[in-house]
Formats: sequence, structure tokens, C-alpha cells
Amino acid sequence: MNAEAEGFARFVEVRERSLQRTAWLLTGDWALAEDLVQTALARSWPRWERIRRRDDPEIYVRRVLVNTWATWRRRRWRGEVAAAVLPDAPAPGDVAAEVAVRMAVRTALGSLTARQRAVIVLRVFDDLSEAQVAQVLGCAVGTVKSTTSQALAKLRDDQRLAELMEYEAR
Amino acid sequence: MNEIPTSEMERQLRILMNVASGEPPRPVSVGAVRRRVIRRRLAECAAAATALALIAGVSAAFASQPAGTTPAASRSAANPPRYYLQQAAPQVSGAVVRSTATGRITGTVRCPRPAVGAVLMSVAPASNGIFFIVCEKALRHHSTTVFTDARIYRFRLTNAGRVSHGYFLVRGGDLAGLTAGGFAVTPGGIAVTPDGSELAVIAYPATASAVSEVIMINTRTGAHAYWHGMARVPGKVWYGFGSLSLTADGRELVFLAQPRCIKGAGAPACHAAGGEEIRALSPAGRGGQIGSSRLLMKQAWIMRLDVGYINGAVISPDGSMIRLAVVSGSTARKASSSVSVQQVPAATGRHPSVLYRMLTGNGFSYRLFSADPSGKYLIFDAGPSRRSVNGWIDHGRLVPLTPRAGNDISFEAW
Repeated sequence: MNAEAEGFARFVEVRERSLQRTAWLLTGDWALAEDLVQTALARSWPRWERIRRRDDPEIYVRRVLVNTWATWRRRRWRGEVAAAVLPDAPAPGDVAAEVAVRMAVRTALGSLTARQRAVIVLRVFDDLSEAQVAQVLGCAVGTVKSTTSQALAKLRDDQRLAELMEYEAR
Repeated sequence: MNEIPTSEMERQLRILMNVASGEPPRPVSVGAVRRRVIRRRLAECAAAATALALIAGVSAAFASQPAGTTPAASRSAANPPRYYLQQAAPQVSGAVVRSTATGRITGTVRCPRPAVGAVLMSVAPASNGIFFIVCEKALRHHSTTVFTDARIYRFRLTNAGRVSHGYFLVRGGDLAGLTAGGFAVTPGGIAVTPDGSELAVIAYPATASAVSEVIMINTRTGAHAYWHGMARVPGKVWYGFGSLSLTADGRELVFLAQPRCIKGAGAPACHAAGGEEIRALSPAGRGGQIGSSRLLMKQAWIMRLDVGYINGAVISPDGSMIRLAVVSGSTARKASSSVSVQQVPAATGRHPSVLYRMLTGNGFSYRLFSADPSGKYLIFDAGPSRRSVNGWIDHGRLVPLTPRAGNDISFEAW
């Protein structure tokens, strides 16, 4: 394996979980999240030598990931999805609380527009700076600020999310 | 909730998101990404190859397409016209349109007039899917059939192979009252320029003593010009003629002439050696005497007279080549008969090249020979005795048309 391929493999190994979690927050589905991450990485790999020279290759990959998700969102069937196995598989142990959080977060994020959702996930969950989010989304920093503000205002109105936040605050 | 500062809300939200997203069920491996890249590249290569093949195909089709043709008449080097007109016995009042590729009947052609007793006598194709037909009325008169009310109509085929918007009487095409030398005439064979502007039709006299004529019709003005046939004078060479064709510019009217020595009591001997001749009248639209025609070639220049005949001839649209339907069969050498399509340069009339030949054994049959307006695609219906084969000539092969057996076909054109 040459240095370039080795560098890419190392990046995937280290960052794939984080990327998958971002992808899950965007899509709300693990299968789609995995598909999205694979697609983003597959698109990045042929340009890896160029990407590698950048200060932060992850920003580039996340940009590809968000853009791919935005494209999918426009094109993909968003109605009923056929599944080979039952999606509600029984989980081990008592995971009621975790499920409640997952459902609340997914519903709250689902109430946002695509741009608001991407901004919140990148800004809050991935902890990117406003400038980095602007770079990923290809927009002005001011747009990121205003979009973040609008998204947070909408999330404040989400009753279930508010209850969970109060619980977390205690 | 409104009391929570933004930074605190972001912190709590981050915690909730962390909990919600949890751990991915399985990791994304580099191998999976590589496989996806390979699949993606293969798909791109396949798409590029398909696109190149399509572009090459479309370019080739456009390169060989004559200017100004519509899809109905579009054709490439490998593709003959999509439809052909066919009349087969016992049908007389009309014809059918068939798909060249499948043989399926896509439409019917009928003489619009007269309503009763109409006979579709002949057909000539022009470009853009336009055809000209000669319609007449057949009347039984004692033991013979007399044809009257001759009219020439024009129609166009749609892309689906059906007659579009009906039939139009050609300007100058009403030949119902036509006479020649005081005798009624019967229009017969027809030829037209690819643009449909000039039309030639043979007018046969109702009596044997009268002369045949070729009527030139300018379909834009309706003007007629007449090429008068020769009177049959004992002791003189007389030309029977048929198989008309016109060059694309309408200047040359080419026909197959059969010189015959008219015999008569006390008439001097005359000499009509040389077999069939291909002759040209120029300028075609002027009219005059057919006897003043120019000799383009003689049968004797390309083959022995005692072994065959020239049964049909078509001039190419540019006037450079004459395509001939030739049948031959030697009585001395049985089982050596053949039918063929040959071409000779119009400038020399010599050195024929064979476009298609079929060995027919002992004897032969010949039904028809015609060319499309581009002159590239030739229909040939000939073959062994009483077993004529209907097809078109493609690089030395006879590609069958429907029906394959051509014995009952009266005419075909595309």
C-alpha cells in the first residue's frame, strides 16, 4: 500500500464513527447513514492526494457528505421503504430512555429545514466553528449565524426536546 | 426553556445528540469504500462507452443522410427507406404500405377517384416520403378493357407509414380528356424528380396505329410538354420505350428503348441490331421528338445479344450511372441462366459492374426493378422461372422483402 492509500485508510479508520454519527443525525437512519458515509468517502478517495494537502481533510469529506445528503434529500424516495428485516428489532437491556432521546432528537431535527439541520449538526454536534461550517456548506459566515439562530429558536419550541433538556440540566 | 442561554442550549443539545446517535451498528471499512469506487468507475466507463457508441451511430447516420430529408424518408448507408408501397394481385384499386424492416402493413393507399372501377396503374417516389400515383377507371368494352379518367395524385407518408392528410390532384395531373393525334391515351409508367417538380408519364394510345408519347408535367405550373413517339413506318427502325427515369435536376429523361425493324410488303430491309438501348432526352421539359434522343448505351456494348435482355433501367439522380436489370439464359448452355443488376457509367455506356447476380438454373423470371429517390436502394423482383424473389439489394445480397415470393407483385416503390 502506498502512502496515499495508507493515509486514506488511516483517516477512515479514525473518523468513520464520527462521520457515521453525523450522517445518522442528518438522515435519521443507520443504513442510510452508512451508505452516505461510504459514498462520501468513495467520492473523496480519487482526490485524496489533493485533499490531503489541505489543512483539514475532514472538512472536505464532511462537505462531500453534506452535499451528497442534500442531493439525496432532493431525489430520493422519502415515503415507504421496503426492508428485508424488521427495522424494530428487540434491543438487549432496558434502553427506553435512550430510545426516547433518539426519537425526540430525530423528530426535532426532522422539523428543521435541510440547511438548518446541517448547520445544527455541524455546529453543535461536530463542534465546527462558524467559519468551518460556512466552508462545508459553501455559504457566508453570516448565513451560518442566522441559520443557527433560526434553527435553535425552532428547537426551543419542541416540547419533548425541552423536557429532555430540563432533565439534562438537573 | 426560553430562559436557557444559547450556549447552554447548545451544550445540552450536543449531549442529547451524542446519546441519540449512539454507536454505529457496524464500522465503514476501507475495503467497502474501495469496492464502491471500483463499481462507480466501472459504471462510468460503461456509460462513457455507451455514449460514444451512440454518438458514433448518430454521426454515421447523419453523415449519410441526404440534406432536407424528414424522418419518414431518412436513410443511412445501412438503412433503406422505412416503408415501401406494394401492389400485389389481385389488388388493383390500391396498394399497401409495408415496413421494410418487418414487412408489416402500416397503411393502405387507394385511388380517391373514381369511386367505382378505379385502378392504381403506377407509382413513383419523390423525397420526403412523397409519392405520385396514376389512377384510372377501368371499363369493360366488348372483350377488352378500356382505361379512362386518368389522374395523377400526390400524397405523403407519415413517420408511422400512413397516408398523411389525404391525396392531392397534381397540378396538370388531370389527364381525363387527354388525346394524342385525336385518339384517347392511357397513361402508364411514371417517373418523377426527387423534389417532385417534374413528372414524366408515358401515354399509350388506344389504337395500335397511333404513337405513344411521353408527357412532361411541371407540377408547379401544371404546364405540359410532349415527347412524340415515332410512327411505325415499314422499312424503318421504330423504338418502343418504357422504364422512365429522371435526373434530380429534371434535365435528363432516360428511357429503355427497344428498336424494332417495322416490316411491310415491299418495304426495304432495315437494320436494328444492337439489342436494347438506353437513351436520353434533354432538356426533358422542352418536348419534341423521341427519335431525337441521345444514345447512352447499347446492350451489345455489355453483353452478347443472343443470351439476354435488359428489362429495366434507372438513371442515378446525378446522371452519372445507369442501373440495369439484366436477364440472361443461353439455349446452348442450359441451367446457366441468371438475373442481375448491373451499373454502367452514363458517360461511356461500357464496362458494367455487377451489383447483384442470382443464378437461376434453367430459365428465369422478372417482375420489377425500381430505385428510391436517392438512387442508392434498389428493389429487384426476379429469380428462377415462376419463382421470383422479392427483395432489395444490399452490398451484393438480396435482402428479402415481404412477401418473399414475388410472383404476384405488380409494382413496388420506396
